[in-house]
Amino acid sequence: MMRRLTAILLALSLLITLSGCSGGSVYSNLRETEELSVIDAIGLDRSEDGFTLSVASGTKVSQSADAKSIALARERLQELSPREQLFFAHAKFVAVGEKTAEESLTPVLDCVERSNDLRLNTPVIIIADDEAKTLLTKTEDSVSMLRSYERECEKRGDCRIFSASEIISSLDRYGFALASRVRLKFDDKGKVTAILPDGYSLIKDSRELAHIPSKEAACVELITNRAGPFFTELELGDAKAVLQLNESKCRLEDGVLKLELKASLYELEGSAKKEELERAYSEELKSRIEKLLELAERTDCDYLKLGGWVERLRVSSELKYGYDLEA
Amino acid sequence: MKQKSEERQLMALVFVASLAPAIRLMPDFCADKGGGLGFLAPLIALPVLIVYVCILSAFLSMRNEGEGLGELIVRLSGRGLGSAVLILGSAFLLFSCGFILRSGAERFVSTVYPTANELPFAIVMLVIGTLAALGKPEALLRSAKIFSSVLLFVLAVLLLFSLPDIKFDLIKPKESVDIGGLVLAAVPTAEIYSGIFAYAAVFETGGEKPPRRALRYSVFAAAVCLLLALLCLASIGSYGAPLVSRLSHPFFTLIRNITIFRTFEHIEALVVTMWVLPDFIIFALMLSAAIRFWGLVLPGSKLFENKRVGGLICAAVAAGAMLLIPGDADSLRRFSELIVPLANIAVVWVLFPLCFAVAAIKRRRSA
Repeated sequence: MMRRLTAILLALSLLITLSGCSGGSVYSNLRETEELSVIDAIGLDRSEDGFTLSVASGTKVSQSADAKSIALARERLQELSPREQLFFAHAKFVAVGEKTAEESLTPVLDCVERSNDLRLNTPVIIIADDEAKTLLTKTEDSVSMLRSYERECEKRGDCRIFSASEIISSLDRYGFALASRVRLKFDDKGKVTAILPDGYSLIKDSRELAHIPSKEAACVELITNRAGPFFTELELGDAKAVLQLNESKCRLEDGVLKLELKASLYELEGSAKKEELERAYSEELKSRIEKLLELAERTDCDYLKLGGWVERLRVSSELKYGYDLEA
Repeated sequence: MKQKSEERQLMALVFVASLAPAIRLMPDFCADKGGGLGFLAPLIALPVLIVYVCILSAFLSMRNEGEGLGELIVRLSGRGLGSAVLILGSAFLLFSCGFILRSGAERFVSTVYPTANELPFAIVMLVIGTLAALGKPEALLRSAKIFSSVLLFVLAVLLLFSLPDIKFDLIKPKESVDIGGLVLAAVPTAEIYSGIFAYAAVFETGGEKPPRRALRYSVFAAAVCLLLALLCLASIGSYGAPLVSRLSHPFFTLIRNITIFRTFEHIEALVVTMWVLPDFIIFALMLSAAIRFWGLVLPGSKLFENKRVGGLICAAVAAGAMLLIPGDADSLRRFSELIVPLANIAVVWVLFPLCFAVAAIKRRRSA
C-alpha cells in the first residue's frame, strides 16, 4: 500500500513540474498572457534588401521591419517591441504586396507552411498596386477592416478569400492557383479608409500571372457552383436595372457549358420587359464567362475546374420580380 | 464473461498503443507513397493483417493456462531457437522503447513547446512507463480500456470537424493509379498492427482460450483500418498529398486548423498532450514484454526472479537507446520510416513465424 502511494505521489510530483502555468516549470516556454502581443494580421513585401514584415494587432500594434529574410525581419520586429512578446499563433490574415506576388509567392507560402505557430488555413490576400505594409501601418484598425471585408465576402458570395493551404495544395496539384485580391481606398491624408474587392490573382509557378477583375471573379464562383446572392448591374437603353442572383447551377455536358440562373429584380430605373431583362442578364454573364474561358485557354490553366474542353457556352436565366418593381 | 472482458481490454491495449506510431508515420507516409488515394492504404493492409491474425490465433490456440506468446515460443519451438528469438525480440522492444521516448518528446517540442528541452518529457515518460511496466499487466490493460474511450471520443470529434472540409479534387488520382505506391503505403499499417497484435499476445495468458479469436480480431482490425483510413482522408483531403507528405506532423497540423463553431480553436496543445496516453501505453507494453522475454530467456536468474531489478535494467537500456537516437527531425523520420519498421518486420514477420513454423512441424511429427 505504502509503495503504491509513493509511486502515485512520485508520478504526480513529476506532473506538477510540467505545468505550463508554473513559474518553476522545467521548460522555458512560460508566457504570461499580459506579456504577449497577439498579432492579428501579417504583411509580407519584397524590399530592396530582402523582405518587409509588417504586423498589426487591433489598434494597439502596427509596425514593420526590413531584413534580408522573413525570419530576421521577425526578430527585428521583436526588438521593436521589447516589453511584449509578439505572438503569431492567432494571426487571422496574411497580406502580400502585389510586387511580391508578381516576383514569387514561394517565400510567403513557405513561411506559413514551415511555421510552428501560423496556421495553414490562414487567409492570404494580395494588395493590388500597393504593399501589405500600407494596409497594416497606414490604417487606424486594419484588422477590423479585414474582418469586415471577410464577412462581406461571405455575404455577397461573388468573391472568396483563399487560405494558404488552398493556394499551396492547388499549386502542388495543378501548378496554378487563385488568390484573393483587394484594393485599398485612401482619404486625402493618405490613410486607408476601406478595403475593396479587386477580384482574383491567377498564380502560376508561384507568380501572379494574370488579374481577374471583380465582375469576372463573380463568374468564377458561378462556374464552380459556389456563388452567393451577388448583384449585377444591367443597362438596357435608357433603363438601368440591378438583379440579385437567387440560384445558379453550372455543368459541362459534351463540350457545352450550361449555366442556369434564377434571379430577382432588385432595382429598376426606367422600364424594361421581363424577357429583355432575362436576355440582358444572360448576355452580361455570358460575356464575362467568355473572358474567363479565354483567359483559361490563354494561360493554359483550368482554374475553373471544368476538366474538359468548352466548345459552346449556354447561359439561361429566369427572372423573378423583386419588390422594387412591384412597389 | 471474464474472458470477454480480458479480450476487450487487450483490443483496447492494441488500439491505444498503435495510435502513437500510426499517427506519427501514417498520414505523411501514405500521402507520399500513395498520393491522393493514399488514404486507402490502411484498407489495403487489412487482408495482410487478417492473415497475420489467423496465423497468430492458430499458434495461440496451442497455449496452456498461464502461457502467453513468449512462453509458447520457448515451449513449442525449443529452448535454443525460442531463446534466440526472444533475445532478438526483446532487443528490438528495448530499442523501440528508446525511440518512443525520443519521438514522443520531439512531438511535444515541435508542435507545442518550440523552445523546450526534450529531456524532461522523455524522463517523465520513462519513469511513469517503467512504473507501469513493473506493475501488474492487469493495471495496464485496465488503463488502456479507459484511455481508448477518451481517445476514440477525441478522434470522433476531430473527424466530425475536419471531414466536411475535404476537397475531393485533392484525392482524385491525377493520372493513372500507382498501385505499387499504394501497396507500399499500406506497409506501415500492416507492420505496426501485426507488431502490436503480437506483443499484446504476450499478455494473453488467461485460462480459457477465446473461441473464434481470429474472427473477432479480424473484425477489430477492420474497424481500426477504417478509422485510420478516415484520419488519412481528413489530412490528405484537406491539404493534398504533396503538402501532407512535406509536413512533419500532418495530423497535428490538421488539428491546429480546426475551429469548433468559431468558438474554440488552437486545441492542438490539448490533443498533443492526450497523445501522451498512447506513448505511455506502448512504452509500458513493450517494456513489460521485453522484461517477460528476458525472464523466459534467463529462467531462475536472480535478476529476473525479482521482476523489478530486471525491469530497471531493461528501462536503463531503453533510456540508453533513447540517448543514442539523434533528436533531429530528419533522423527521427529515418528511424520512424525505415529502421524501426524494418526491425519490427524482421521480428514479427520473420522470427515469430519461424517459431510458429517450427512448432507446427514438431506437432505434425509428434502426431
